[in-house]
Amino acid sequence: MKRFSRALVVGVGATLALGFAVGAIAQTDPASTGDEALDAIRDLIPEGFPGEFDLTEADAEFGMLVSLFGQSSQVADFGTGSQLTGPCGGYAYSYDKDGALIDAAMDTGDSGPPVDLLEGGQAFTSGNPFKVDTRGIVTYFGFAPRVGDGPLNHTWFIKTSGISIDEGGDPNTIRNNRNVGLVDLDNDLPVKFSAKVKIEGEMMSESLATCVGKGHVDFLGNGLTDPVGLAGLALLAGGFFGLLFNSRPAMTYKG
Amino acid sequence: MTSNSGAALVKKGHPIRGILWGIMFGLGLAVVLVVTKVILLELLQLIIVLVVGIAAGVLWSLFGPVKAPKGPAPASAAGVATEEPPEPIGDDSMIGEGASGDGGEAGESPETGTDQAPMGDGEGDSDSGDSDGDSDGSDSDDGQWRSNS
Repeated sequence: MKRFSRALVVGVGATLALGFAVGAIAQTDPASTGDEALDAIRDLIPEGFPGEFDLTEADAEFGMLVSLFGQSSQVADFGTGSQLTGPCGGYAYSYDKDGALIDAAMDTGDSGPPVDLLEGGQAFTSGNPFKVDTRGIVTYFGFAPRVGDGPLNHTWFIKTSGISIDEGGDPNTIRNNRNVGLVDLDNDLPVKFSAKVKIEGEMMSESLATCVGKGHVDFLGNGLTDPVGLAGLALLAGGFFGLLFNSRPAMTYKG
Repeated sequence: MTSNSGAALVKKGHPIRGILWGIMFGLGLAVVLVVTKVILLELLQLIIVLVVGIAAGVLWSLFGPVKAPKGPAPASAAGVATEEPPEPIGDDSMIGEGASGDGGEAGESPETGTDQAPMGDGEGDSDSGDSDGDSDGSDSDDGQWRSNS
């Protein structure tokens, strides 16, 4: 039993150490080749001063998108996996680490699903998820509703697999009805990874109908060479060799 | 199957090891499948992969290829000595009364002072987990004592 315990502890320890060490090395690899481009995008939405942008340029841009794509986001290809219902809408642009636009989607605030601004058709589906670079940036503009008073005393949440990712709320006594923001994944995500995630969220308020959104997001990373991928490979290899050499049945003497 | 000494050679599975290594294998497999986008980062799918890994570990530990025994059959299994005890070190008179047998004073019977030594249960034992190689004479839990004469 002692030898087994020792082998197990050493195996697990070595595996985890290897995973974390390789992950740490990969994490320190500078991925800031496009920082200047990302900084230019960050400057579009200065932190703490989103109001100037959302009331002018963002809304004007949304109006332009609506005129280009139509008043409704109803699409013929009503796939599964995405929806945005309620008096909410807006658009989101996703940029990679070099500042290049990799995906864009919008919803006009009707009962139809969000649409893909680059490829057309329905956005946020399992077959056409919204692409997000874990070393990039996402900018968004949202409203509820586009015309009229905003939600009073609202709360919201985002979750996946029933587990809350983020939540918040605001009394919003001045009844703002729009917002613009920036999700800085490059700076905010401590560990880079690749994954497809199904996300859902809601926003409830005292004055408006509930907004419900569901969709798929594709986090683009470096796959197995990202820290999470390397840790997974280390775990897989450790488990495989542990099974191979330390858990096979054995012939033993019994008298 | 029995050895020359009469000990039965039996197959022994290690399901607990299979579970533990299977958890690690399943976790790694789940992460790799998520990162390569074969599956969604979703709790249910992760649990399914983890369970598959654990099941694979248990099945492997019970029905995988059998490892051969590493050593000869244990001497004590049939109550027959197959190995000669080690020679005493030094002169008997220097060690003291009753210490001339194998194992030295550690195996001395406190009551009788006769030359008796415990049969180390780990000696020659091929089982990877059970052999602790006790030789200090304090481990006499199996109660197998034998005379040196």
